[in-house]
Amino acid sequence: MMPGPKDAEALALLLRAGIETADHALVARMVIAAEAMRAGLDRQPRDLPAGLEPASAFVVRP
Amino acid sequence: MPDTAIATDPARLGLAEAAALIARRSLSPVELVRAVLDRIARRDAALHAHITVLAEPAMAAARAAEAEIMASGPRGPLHGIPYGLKDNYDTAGLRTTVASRARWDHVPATDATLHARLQAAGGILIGKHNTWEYGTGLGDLQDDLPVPAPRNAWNPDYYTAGSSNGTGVAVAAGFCALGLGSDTGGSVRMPAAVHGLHGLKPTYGRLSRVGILPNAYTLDVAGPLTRRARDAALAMNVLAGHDPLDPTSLTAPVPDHAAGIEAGVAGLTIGVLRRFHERDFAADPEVMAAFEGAVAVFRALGARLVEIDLPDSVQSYRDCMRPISAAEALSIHGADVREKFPLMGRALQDKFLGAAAVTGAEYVTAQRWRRQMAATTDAAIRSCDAVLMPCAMTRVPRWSEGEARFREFMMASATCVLNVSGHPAASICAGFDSAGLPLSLQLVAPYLGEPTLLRVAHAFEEATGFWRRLPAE
Repeated sequence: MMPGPKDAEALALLLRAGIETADHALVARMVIAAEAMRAGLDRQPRDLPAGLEPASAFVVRP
Repeated sequence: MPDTAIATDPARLGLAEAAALIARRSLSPVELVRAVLDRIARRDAALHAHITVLAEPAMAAARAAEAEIMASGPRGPLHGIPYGLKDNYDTAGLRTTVASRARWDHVPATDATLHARLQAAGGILIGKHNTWEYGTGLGDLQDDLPVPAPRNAWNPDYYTAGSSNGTGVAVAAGFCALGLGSDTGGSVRMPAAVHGLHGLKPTYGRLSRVGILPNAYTLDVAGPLTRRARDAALAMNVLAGHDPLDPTSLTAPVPDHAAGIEAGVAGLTIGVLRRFHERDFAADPEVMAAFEGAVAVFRALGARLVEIDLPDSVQSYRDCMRPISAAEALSIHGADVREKFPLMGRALQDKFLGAAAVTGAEYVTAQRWRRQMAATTDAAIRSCDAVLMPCAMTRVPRWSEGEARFREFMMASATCVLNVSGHPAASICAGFDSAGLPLSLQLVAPYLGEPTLLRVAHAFEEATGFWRRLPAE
C-alpha cells in the first residue's frame, strides 16, 4: 500500500532524525507526535518585530 | 526540633536541624547516616526513590566526617549532612543512568560541579535518585523503564510528578536531608510540590550545570529540594558561584542566603498573581482555598500585597517553551537517537519524534517570542520583592487515575513560566488536601533575588508550620 502524504512526511522526518524504519507503528506515532507539536507551533506569533533577537543570542566575552 | 526527634529517628531531621546538632556535637554523622540507611532499607523497596544506594561509601564518609568534626569542628553547615543526587548528575566512577537502558552502563570520569562542591563542604552522598528517563517528560506514565516509577512518600497510591521525582520521594521519606534535582519546565518544583517540600529553581545561570545531563541548554536549571527554605539557604551558600566551565554561569557575587532569612515580610511588597489559576485554568477549589489562605498569612505578617497581572496565559508560555525544549534535546541527544532509539522508553521516544517536527525557523521564532515574554514577565515581577502564584493547580492524582490525568496535572501547573523567563522560583507547601496529600504554591522573585525569596518562604513556613508535618511511617 502506498503511504499517504502524512506518512510520507513522517518518514521524511524520521529519516532526518536518523531513524531508518519500515515500522508502520513507529510511522503512525511520528504522525501523532508531529501533529501534537504542530498544534503548539501554529500558535506562535506571526508578527514579532524584526529587531527582536532570540533569547539565546550569541554572546562574545572578550 | 526537640531531642525526642533524634531519639526516635535522626533521619527525620531537616538539614538545618541536623547541622545545628552536629555543630553542637549532639549528633554524629555516623548516627545520622546509619539512620538514613536504615530507613532506605526499610522503605525504599516500596518507594523506588533510588537507582543506586551507596551504603558502604556513605558510612565510611560518615566515620571520616565524625573524626574530623570531633578533632576540629565542622567545615560548615553541610559537613556530615546526607544528600542525594538525581541520577543525571555525573559521579566519577559511579554509573549515571538517567533511568535509561540507553545509558544504563554509563560511568562518568568526573564529578558534576555541584556534587564536587557538596563533597568539598563535607556532605555525604547517600545515593543516586530515580528519575524520568533522561530527566525529561510531559507526565507520561514511563512504566517501561529499567526501574519502577517512584511512589509518593505520603501515600504510595499517589503520583510523584516531574523528572526529579525520586529526589522528591527521597527527601520526604527521610532518605537524605538534601536532594539535588534539575528543572527544565518544573522538574524540581513539581516533585517538591507533591511531597510538601521546598523546591528551589534558582535564577537561570546561578547554579552550575556542568556534569548534569542536559535536556535543554537555554532552559535547564539545577536546584535543591529540602524540607524548608532555611535548608535551601544553607545549601545555596555552598552550591552557588561562578563556574568557568558553564558558559551560562553568572559571575555575580554570591550573597549569604541565610543571613537575612529571619527578617520577616513586614514592609515587603508581595505581588499576587491570579490569572493562571482563575482565568487560564479552573483550579481545584482546595488549591484556590490554599492560595487565599496564603494571601491572608502574608497580610497578617505585615506584607504589602498588590495584585499583578501578565498578558500571556500559561498555555502561551508552554507553547513558547515546548519547541525550544524539544529541539535542543534532539540536538543534544541526536547521536543517542540515531544509535540507541530502540533502547529508550516510549515517552522519551515520543519526545524526540515530536522534536523532529520543529523547523529551524520555528525554533528561532520560539526564542524570539521568549525574549518578549521574559521582558513582560520581568516587568511585573521586578515591581515586587516577591510574587505569589500557583504551582500545581489540581490535586495530586492517584496512580489509578491514569496517564491522561497525569498529563493534565502537569499541564495545569504554572512552573514553566519561570523557565521561560529565567526568574528564581520556589514551590512551597501550602497545606494538605482532603486526601492528606500536600498542596503547593509558588513564590517568585526578581533575578538573583534568591535571598529575599527564601526570606519570604521562611516567614510563611514558620507562620504555618506545614513543613513540620511528615509522611506517616
